[in-house]
Amino acid sequence: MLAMIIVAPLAGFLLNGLWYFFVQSSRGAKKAGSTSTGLLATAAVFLSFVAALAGHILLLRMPSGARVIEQKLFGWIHAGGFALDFVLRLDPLSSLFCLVITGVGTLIHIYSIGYMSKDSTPGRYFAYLNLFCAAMLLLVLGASMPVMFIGWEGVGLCSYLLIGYWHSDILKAAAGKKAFIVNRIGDLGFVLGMFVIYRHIGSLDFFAISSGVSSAVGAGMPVVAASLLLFAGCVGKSAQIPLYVWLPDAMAGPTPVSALIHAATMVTGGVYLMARVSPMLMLSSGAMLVIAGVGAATALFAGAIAFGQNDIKKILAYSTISQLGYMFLACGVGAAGAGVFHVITHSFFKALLFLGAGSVIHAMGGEQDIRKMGGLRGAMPRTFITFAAAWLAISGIPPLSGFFSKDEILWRAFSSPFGGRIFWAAGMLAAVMTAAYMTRLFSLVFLGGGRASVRVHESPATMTVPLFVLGALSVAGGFIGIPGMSAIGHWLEPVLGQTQASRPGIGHSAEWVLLASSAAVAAAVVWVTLKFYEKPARAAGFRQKGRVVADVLENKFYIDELYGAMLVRPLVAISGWAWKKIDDGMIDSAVLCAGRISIAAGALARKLQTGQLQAYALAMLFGALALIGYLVHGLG
Amino acid sequence: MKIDPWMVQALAAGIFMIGFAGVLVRRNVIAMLMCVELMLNAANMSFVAYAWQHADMAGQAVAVFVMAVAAAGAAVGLAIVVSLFRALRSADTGGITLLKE
Amino acid sequence: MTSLVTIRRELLELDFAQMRALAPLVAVCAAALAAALIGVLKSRFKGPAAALVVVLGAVVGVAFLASHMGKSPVELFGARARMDAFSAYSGILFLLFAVLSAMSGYRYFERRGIHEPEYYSMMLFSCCGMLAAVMSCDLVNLFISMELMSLPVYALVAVRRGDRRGGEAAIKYFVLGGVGSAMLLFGAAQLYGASGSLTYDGIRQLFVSTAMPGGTALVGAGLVLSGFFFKAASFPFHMWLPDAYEGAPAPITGFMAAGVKAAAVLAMIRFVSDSGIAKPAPAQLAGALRTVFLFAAVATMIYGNLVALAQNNLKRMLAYSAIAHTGYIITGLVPGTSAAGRGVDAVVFYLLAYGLSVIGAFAALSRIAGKEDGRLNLHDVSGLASRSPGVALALTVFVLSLAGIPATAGFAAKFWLFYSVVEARETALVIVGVLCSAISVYYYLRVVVYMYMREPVGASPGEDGVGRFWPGVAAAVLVASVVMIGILPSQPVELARKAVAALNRTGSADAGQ
Repeated sequence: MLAMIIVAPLAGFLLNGLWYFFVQSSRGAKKAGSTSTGLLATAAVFLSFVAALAGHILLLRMPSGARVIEQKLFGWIHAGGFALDFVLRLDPLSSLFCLVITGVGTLIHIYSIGYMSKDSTPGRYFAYLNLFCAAMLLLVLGASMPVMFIGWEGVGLCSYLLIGYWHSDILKAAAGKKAFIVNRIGDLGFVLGMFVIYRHIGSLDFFAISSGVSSAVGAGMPVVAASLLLFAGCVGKSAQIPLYVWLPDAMAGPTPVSALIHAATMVTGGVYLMARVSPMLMLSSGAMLVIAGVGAATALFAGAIAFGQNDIKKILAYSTISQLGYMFLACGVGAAGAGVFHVITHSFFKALLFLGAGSVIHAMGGEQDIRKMGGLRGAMPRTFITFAAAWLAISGIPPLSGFFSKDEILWRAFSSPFGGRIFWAAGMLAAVMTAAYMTRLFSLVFLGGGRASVRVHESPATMTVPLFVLGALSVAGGFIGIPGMSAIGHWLEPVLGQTQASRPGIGHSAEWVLLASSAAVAAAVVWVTLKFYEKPARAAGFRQKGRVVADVLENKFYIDELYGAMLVRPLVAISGWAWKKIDDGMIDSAVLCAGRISIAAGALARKLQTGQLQAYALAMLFGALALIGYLVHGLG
Repeated sequence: MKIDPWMVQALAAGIFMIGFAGVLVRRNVIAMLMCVELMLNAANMSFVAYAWQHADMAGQAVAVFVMAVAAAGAAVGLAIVVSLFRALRSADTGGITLLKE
Repeated sequence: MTSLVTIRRELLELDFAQMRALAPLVAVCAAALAAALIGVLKSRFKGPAAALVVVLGAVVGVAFLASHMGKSPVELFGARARMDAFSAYSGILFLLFAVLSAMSGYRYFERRGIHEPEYYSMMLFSCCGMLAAVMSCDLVNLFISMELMSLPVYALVAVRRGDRRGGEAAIKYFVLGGVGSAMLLFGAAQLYGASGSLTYDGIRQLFVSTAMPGGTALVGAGLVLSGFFFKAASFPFHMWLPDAYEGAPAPITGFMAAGVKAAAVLAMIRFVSDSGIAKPAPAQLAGALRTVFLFAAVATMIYGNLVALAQNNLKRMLAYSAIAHTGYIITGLVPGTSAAGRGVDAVVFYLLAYGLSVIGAFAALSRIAGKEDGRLNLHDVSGLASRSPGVALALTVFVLSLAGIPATAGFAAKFWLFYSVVEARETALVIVGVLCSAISVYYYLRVVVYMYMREPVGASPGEDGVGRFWPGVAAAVLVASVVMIGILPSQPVELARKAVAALNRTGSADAGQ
């Protein structure tokens, strides 16, 4: 039954893929439209959602300590002393992720039917989308690191395929390549982490790692090394400093792809990994410090850049990076449960934001610069309402979902033994920035006077219905994690371990104080920013006065250019040299030389066969004499 | 003069080598066949001599078998020769080098 | 002279088990005779009728042999012949090869209007001889069986009357074969002289004591080994092979490459292991023997592969590749002469895999051959894939198997072989073997390149509908079995293991097997 969760979208991929390959790629064949291929794909993902839901219900019925469903698919590697089976495992953590992936995935599939209605090869798109879902589900359902790694790599592949979906545009194709390559750098860390874990714990199964690490190893170097290496993988996959550069470029892909992959699911794979190995992570306070630090720094850094951007999708991209920083901050202070909570709520409102942006871009005929939008509230009421819900959620306005999850993280950052006031302050500052730039976005796009040069109209129902569903979730989804009654915390306890007690000296009331203050700050920032952008001219003047800072922010601190000069160009130069001098010059010519020598030797040796019968008989004579002689010579 | 088994052995060995030399040297294919027969009969002689030496009938029985087999072989060989040289009209093996290298 | 020796009872009376052990030989022989008799009839259907009789005989023979795979060995004629799992496995192999060659040659002969019963009959007689040779535990039996195996093959090579190449091939093969047989016989005589016994068991005492056996025994052993090497085409006794393979009709060549080689190797294995030559007690002799096999293996592999590179005629190329494969086979036998005989089961499996692949390759060639097997050069198969996609695909599969590409029987066999040799610590040998395999991939894949990546040239191979069914069936069976054995080799390998296990029997004067 667990396998069904993965098999359904996999089957969708194969069916759509084969359909596309055989029917659509031939000239003159009637092309299947996005409706038929889309419905097939949506049905596949929905089936997967039903299966995930069934699994979740089964888990609910089990007693709290024993919530595990396992399914061994086949014996995979048995080499010498190393045995690894291909096992899927559903436990509280993975079932949450499964529901999010399949649920939000289904909504995005429905949305895509409308969004891609004018695309020329929708079959290919939906096939990739299904494959992505299958790979992501494999990532979260894997019971051991290698199985998870297959999914990890699979989502990287699908990300590449989907970012570069319109591959005839070379810039878009380059964005896909960049995503894949940068991801790869992080994957190296993942693999090395796997090696260290196997070497010191002796197993790659997650349950075995969690139990083995506490009893056997203790907090020595290997644990630190493994934790940092695995985190390196997360830095790549989840776009943290310094490997975040691919995510903004990834906006070149279709917007639903950005919603699914780069907001709700793939990038959260890193958070999932951290949560999975959190028993191991918590043994090493050094590693935890690094994780929390990187997360906080990323949250701030990306938030700053988001201020300077004018492309609606880029703003959302940097916002995602920033929110991911939040999630890692949570993991780094020992509150992986809060991180997971934020993953869930973030998937709701970020997907909604992206889909809404897609709706806007669709309506504006492809325009993405927010300076050219404005006043869309009247023309696109449904998009406006749902986008507003998401905006409020991400800004942390109670009682929407984003408020609860963000607040939980801030509280834990403040109170956990791994945390500290400085982390809380960083998180608070990032929250302020988030509220500010998101409000800027909202007001420039939907409020005020219209600056658009095209006639805009609302999007079709296939696109707006998912928006409403996500809107509802963004509003109401937070109630699973209300402080004091944290259902989600209890749910995840068996997997993640006991929630950390607060540091001494921090009372229970502190939590409510922080809660109230973050609500107040959020509301204040939103109100101020709204007022500020009521007059766009004033905003433009402000930008002119601080234009040095503004330029730096707009150009993303020139990080891409820095990487290019320091890393990319030298590597390409070395590769070119290695290719010409070593590969072509030395290795290829050696191989060709060996080949020519063999052929020449053959041409020579064939002359031995003269065609003369007596020559053959003579050879036999020599052979017999030699053989006998050799046997006999020992006698002498 | 008393003939000892080793003398027969030596003779057999000598005939074997003569036969081999004949195969190497003679150009006429029928002569080659005859030399092969010589080699087989040298082996026969060797068998019989050893049978004499070990006072064992088996070796002598072998000789009879081998003669029969050699005859069969000769029949096949001559048939092949006839079949080939009907076309070539010559029994010179030096000339048949269509297949080489 | 001694007195008359009483005839020993065991030579004359056969109990039931022994009769059942002889049944395969009898069945096969009877079928061959029946097919030959059919040749006397004046009927249009002589050819097909004889083919049918031969196949039936083969099937009956295989049935009897299969029943022996699981049973304990049966000694015949006072330990002069033995039917055990090894003989049974070998016999099944030979009959399989015969049937498949007959099927693939069916159309070939019909198209040329020379569909005679004698071909099938002679193939089956040759099989008879092959089976008898592997069953033999006695020098004379060995000699007679080898002759029984070879004489029909000489005749088959010459079967196309008026074909100069065929006649030349037959003459060369016959004369050299005669020389080889004579060497074998003379060597047998020396062994008999040194040991006083004709049976392998009797010869064993020569090699059991740690003192070196006398010169006579060594000369005898050397000559017998030379005879085997000749039949198996090891360097430098290989020179008959390229001409014989090129001159013979393609289906016959397939039969020779698969059956005769397998028979020679299997009979040699039986001889060498039963007579104690494989693991002689004197260490010096063991060392010398190992060197002999080593040299033969290396020289044969290298020579065969190098010269095959230079060939344009496909039949000749396959002939040299056959020499190369003999090299690999002898490589597998090298450990058998010094360490714990591990390579032998790999060799026995290799013979199966190689036999199927090579019969298939020649079957494909016989399908596209022109008059007198002309038009079989490389450029003649250009673009074959577009004209005859089935034949091209089949030929590709067989050629890949010969090259040892994974997912084919040839790969499984080579892997197993090299693995056994590495386990016996003959790593240098494996390195040479692998390098030679790498070289061989060039000339094998060249065929595939020509078939699929060049434009067709010249006339299409004949498309008349005469007798296309049986060769098609044979080709399909061969392709399927080559691929199946490649993917799931465990069953055939198990069979090979059982066969070799039967060789190392316990009891009766063994010296530390």
